[in-house]
Amino acid sequence: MEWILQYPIEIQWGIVLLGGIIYGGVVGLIPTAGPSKAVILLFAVVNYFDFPTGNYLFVLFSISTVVSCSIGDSFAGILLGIPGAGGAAASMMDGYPLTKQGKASYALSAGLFTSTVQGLLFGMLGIMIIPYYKVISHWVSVPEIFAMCLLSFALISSITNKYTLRSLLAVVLGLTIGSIGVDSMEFERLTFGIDYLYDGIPVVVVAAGLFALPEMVSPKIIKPYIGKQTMEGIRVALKYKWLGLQGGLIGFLTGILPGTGGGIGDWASYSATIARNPDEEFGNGNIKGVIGTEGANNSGKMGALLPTIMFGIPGNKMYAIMMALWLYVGFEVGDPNILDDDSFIHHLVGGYMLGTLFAGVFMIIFAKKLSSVVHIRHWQYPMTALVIWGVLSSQYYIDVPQNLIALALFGILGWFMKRWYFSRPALLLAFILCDRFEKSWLQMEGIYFYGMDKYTIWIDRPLFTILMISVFVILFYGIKAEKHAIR
Amino acid sequence: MKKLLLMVVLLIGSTSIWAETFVYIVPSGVDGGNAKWAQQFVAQWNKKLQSQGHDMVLRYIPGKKGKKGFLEWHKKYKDKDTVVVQSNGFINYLTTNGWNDFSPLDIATIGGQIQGTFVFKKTDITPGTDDAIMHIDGGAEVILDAMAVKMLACGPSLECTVPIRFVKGFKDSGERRKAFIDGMINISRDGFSHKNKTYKQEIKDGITEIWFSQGIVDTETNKIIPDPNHTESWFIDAYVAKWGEKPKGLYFEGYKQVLKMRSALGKTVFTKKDNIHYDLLVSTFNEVLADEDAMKKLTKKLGNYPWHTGETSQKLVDKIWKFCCTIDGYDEHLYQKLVNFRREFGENTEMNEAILR
Repeated sequence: MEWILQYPIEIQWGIVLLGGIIYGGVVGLIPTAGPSKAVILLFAVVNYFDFPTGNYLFVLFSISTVVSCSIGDSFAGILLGIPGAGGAAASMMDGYPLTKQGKASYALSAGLFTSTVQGLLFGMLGIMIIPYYKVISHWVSVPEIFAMCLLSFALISSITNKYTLRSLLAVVLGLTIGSIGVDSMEFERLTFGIDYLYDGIPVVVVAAGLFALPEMVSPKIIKPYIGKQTMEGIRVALKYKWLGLQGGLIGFLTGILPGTGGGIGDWASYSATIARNPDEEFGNGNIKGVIGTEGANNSGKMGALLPTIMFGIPGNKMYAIMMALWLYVGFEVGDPNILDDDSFIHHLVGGYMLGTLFAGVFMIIFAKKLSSVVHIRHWQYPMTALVIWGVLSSQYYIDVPQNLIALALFGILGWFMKRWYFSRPALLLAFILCDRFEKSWLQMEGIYFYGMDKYTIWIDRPLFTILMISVFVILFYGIKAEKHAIR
Repeated sequence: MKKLLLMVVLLIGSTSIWAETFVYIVPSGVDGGNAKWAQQFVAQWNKKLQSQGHDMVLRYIPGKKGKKGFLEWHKKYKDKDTVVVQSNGFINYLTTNGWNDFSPLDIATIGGQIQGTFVFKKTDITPGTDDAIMHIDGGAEVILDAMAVKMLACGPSLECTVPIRFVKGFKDSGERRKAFIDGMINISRDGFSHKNKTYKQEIKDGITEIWFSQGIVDTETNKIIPDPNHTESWFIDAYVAKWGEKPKGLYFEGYKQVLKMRSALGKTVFTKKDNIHYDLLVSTFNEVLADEDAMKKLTKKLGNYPWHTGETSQKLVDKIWKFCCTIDGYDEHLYQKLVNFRREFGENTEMNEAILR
């Protein structure tokens, strides 16, 4: 890579940024890949940046990879119903139904535009609020995360469909499936002595089984391309800009808290979008569901970057891997001196902002081309099956047969739930958030619900109290509305 | 013509022996302490291997707290000369079953680095008499640090005036570090790299202190000695200063044996016995240790801890395993007690039947 040094610095930036954007974008397109996988694969190229000034260029390359991959991550979920990461599963909820209605590039461009704009907005905000990081993280902490999980469960149960009790059952089932494996103290739960279940079931198996397989059993022909969807997508994203901003804010706030990975920000944004539109149906192709969720996509990445560079506390698993890479090229992220390294900050911020901007523009331009893949009717379902097969074989090469059996079982469960109106999104949401929900509960139990102080949490943590009251109110009205509807 | 053919055959034969791509199995995901150590060390080791025409690639096998990767190696690669595997302390060999016919005595040690850990606390608390809160989880090594915390805070009786609260749910180390900085918990443990990062500013501000360092195992004597990166406030010294005597008893003995395992085997590279590349692997490992530039980089990132290779390494590991894996060294009473001590923290610890055999 030393050849790059012969060019002026602007050209060096251009080449490296473009490389990161293309690479991240391509990985983002691969179903189930997601930003974490893109970052892991950087271990194969990090050596090429081992030359004077090369390590700064690596920072530029790696951060542009992350933002580009995060933006491109929406494609597989929206087009094929197979999410790239836990967060992308939330965009899939309404994005994939839109694809089935022939509005793939409409959904994609709306999502990509929102994700890019919020990414840029919260990128700037993130840089400005570094001095206030501690204040924000104090107000949104363990109890609030726990309450946000509960709120998500309540909202998805009460509003996504009219069968609140069935949805609550789906949540319970999702939590049960999510708890399969070994708990924090080494106790096996629901593993039945099966080795495969020891570390839990991969999210891709559950998501693809619940959503993609039932569609293959009862396929609906996707309508051909209609109208100027790309521009319509951008227009609708502008129309619902406050929803996007709301998603951006939620994604950012949850992103800055370490351990809130797995898409809690995206799902919380999706739930908040549903809550703001109680009279509308979600899960069947509501564009607001895509916009509200995608707002949290890149803003969450910016939020998670803050504790990573300030304290060396990775905001999520992806940044934990990124820290290892940066350490490899000589940057001790978390060492207070790193914040005084202007060149590091310059490359990091530049890579984030420019990467977000250019990746967003490129992908919106290519959204129409890429979305045409779903219009190959005869090939779509076998292709989807092949994609799932290929991904499972390559990613989980150790347990391929077991994964395929689990996939088939979740396919059957998905078909059953679809047939009997049990909410599949509710099950998936609970499955994804189960680990976070349990951890928050254990932390709260140990720290707040102890001795004489067990009730003070309701006074000391006002946001927690407000969120918990909201949970009860939403559930009460959800169940009441269901009874009314049945009568 | 015959000579030419013979030369070709010899050339091909020698190439297949000498131009190898070694696979280095990391029994964990790509993040975390074990993976970071592997990434740093293999980067340097590979340079030495490459200078001799070879190559080394990392392969991560996460799952079952490291057991999956090790068993995968045992099942598929135990007869391969080109595959090496990094240990992760082997504490779960002591505390779980299901290791099939794997025995740590059947593998050869290439080399490794001794490791140490630190326990931090907020300066405004006195564990034992104040409300002290520490994170806990099973399987990993945290229980070992929790045992030390309990001994130091409560003294010989192990009964504190105010019991220490051990809080579950902090498996994510980033989340735990943030909880400590935010004051939600006031005791935390970490390795060398975070001593100079996460806690640095708080220590400078006088909010946090290194309460004690666990110390490391001495490669020659097999005894625990102070951590060379922080010789002050060693656990034993801190204990004597507070309680006026050295720690003793079964609780301390059980803790000490596991500490030795973690310190010596936490970052050690193994391969099959009678590996045809053993000498090459050890000699290139030694080349890294002799390379000033490489060691400067590694010391900065991994800490100034002793290294061990080849025969020294094997002897050290053999001594450590005596605790659990040989009839001579095995002390059922101590092992049973150790299992019970861990259970007291809520961990589902088992007696490994393979050790009992």
